Amino acid sequence: MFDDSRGQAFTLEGLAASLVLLGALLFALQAVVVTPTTSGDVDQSSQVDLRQQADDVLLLSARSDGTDLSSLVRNWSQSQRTFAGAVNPRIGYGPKPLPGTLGVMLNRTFTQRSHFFNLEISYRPGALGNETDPIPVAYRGEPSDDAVAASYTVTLYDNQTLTAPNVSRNVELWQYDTNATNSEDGYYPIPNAVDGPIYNVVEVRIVVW
Amino acid sequence: MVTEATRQRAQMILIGAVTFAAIIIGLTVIINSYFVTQSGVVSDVSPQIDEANEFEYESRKGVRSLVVRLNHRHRNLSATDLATVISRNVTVYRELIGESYAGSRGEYVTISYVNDSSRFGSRVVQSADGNVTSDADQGEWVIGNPSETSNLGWFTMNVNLQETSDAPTWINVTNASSHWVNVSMRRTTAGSGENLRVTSNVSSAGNSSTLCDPSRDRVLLDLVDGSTFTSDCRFNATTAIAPPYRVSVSGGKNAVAKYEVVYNETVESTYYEECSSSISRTQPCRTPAVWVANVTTQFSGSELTYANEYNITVYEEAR
Repeated sequence: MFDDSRGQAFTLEGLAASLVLLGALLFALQAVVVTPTTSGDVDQSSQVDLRQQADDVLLLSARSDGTDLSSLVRNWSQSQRTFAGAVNPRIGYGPKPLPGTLGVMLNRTFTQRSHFFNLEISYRPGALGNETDPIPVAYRGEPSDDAVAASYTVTLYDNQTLTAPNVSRNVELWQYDTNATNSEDGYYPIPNAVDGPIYNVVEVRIVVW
Repeated sequence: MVTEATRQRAQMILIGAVTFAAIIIGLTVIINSYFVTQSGVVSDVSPQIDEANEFEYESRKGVRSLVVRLNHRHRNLSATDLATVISRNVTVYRELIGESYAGSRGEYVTISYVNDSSRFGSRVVQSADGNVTSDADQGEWVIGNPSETSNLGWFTMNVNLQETSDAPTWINVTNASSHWVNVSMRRTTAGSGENLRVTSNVSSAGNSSTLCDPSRDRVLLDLVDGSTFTSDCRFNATTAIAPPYRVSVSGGKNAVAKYEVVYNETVESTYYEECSSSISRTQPCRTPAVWVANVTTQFSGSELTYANEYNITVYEEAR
């Protein structure tokens, strides 16, 4: 009689203890899943790092003395109808390395670390105010869901010239035509957005994944 | 048999389990709060700080580039007219950059030029080809105020090579410490075809000479930095000695050129007439130029909002 009571008491108390421990473990596991850094396919800290690196690359390139971002934006080839040395107008430089210090930095920061990127230029529309499609500088595929983006704004002026090789340094930006099919004066897709010395304000945008 | 000792042992198992459960739950809450706090801080605020820094840098650079272009765009504007033109163009710039930031990043940015807090200098300009002579047609003369030295922000000379003599024209620059640099220019046929021979003699560095190739029969000299805009030619110029400067010309009748000089001082009316449509373009005249531009900016994002006011020295790193 006494032995039965003792066995039942141990069984019940052991069962209660195991249920309490199991409940605590389940609570902990559920809670860990909802933390931002361990939710599975998206590593937010690495996204933040990647975005910071993209920002830094654009910033350093914009402030470099030689081939800065403004030079890249004006590196337009009249014969290729895309950027000088690019593959074609649809993908720009595509998988090829970009020219200048920006190309070196993008290669070392992203390509050599197995990241992909797209680089494109958006600009303000001309007098008619139509929305404009971005111009691809380097298109390397469809970004994944966890891609990050960074951008830098560059101002162009009327009296600047194109920087591509074999382009006349005596022709200023405002003298180019923005109509690709009727371009006797030469073709440059970014229009003169306003009157005055400013030509346009363009945004260089990079998407990294 | 259930004794008092075995009953306590069974209760110890339950109490131990409850204690372990409490520790696990407590640690979970602490670790979670650490990660949530860390990722929230980094991901939300940091990008906007970068964008604000970028806006600050680009707006300064943009306004400086804009003002230096507007200073040199017109010849016959009064200070009031120039201020109106600059305000109008800064407004255009604000709208463009504002559209760009609002469209792609959802941030609101503004830039305004404040003329009342800006400071004007003077620009002496000869806007058509002529001898480098004073407005009284003297070949030996001082540009600006002969009795004072001042900072030079801009000194360019666009030389017509065909019309320029092979006898030299000298630009003589001295400073308050009696250091000097003399730059001479003359047409020569040395090298490939006709060139401009530029020789500079610096009090502390001696003589050096270079040939500058023309572009469409012209050579555009930057006499502040000592370079040409049309070729890779470089020479010692005003920056070889410390400011402030006094600039004089000798042999000015040997050269045919257009030129512009910008000072941080007001050039008095006794030395030059104010530029107007009645003044010949081959005659030097004076017109105002903004030397320091006062600008206010505002940046508003979801995490960061600030307003700033600053002075931009237009001719420092303006080109």
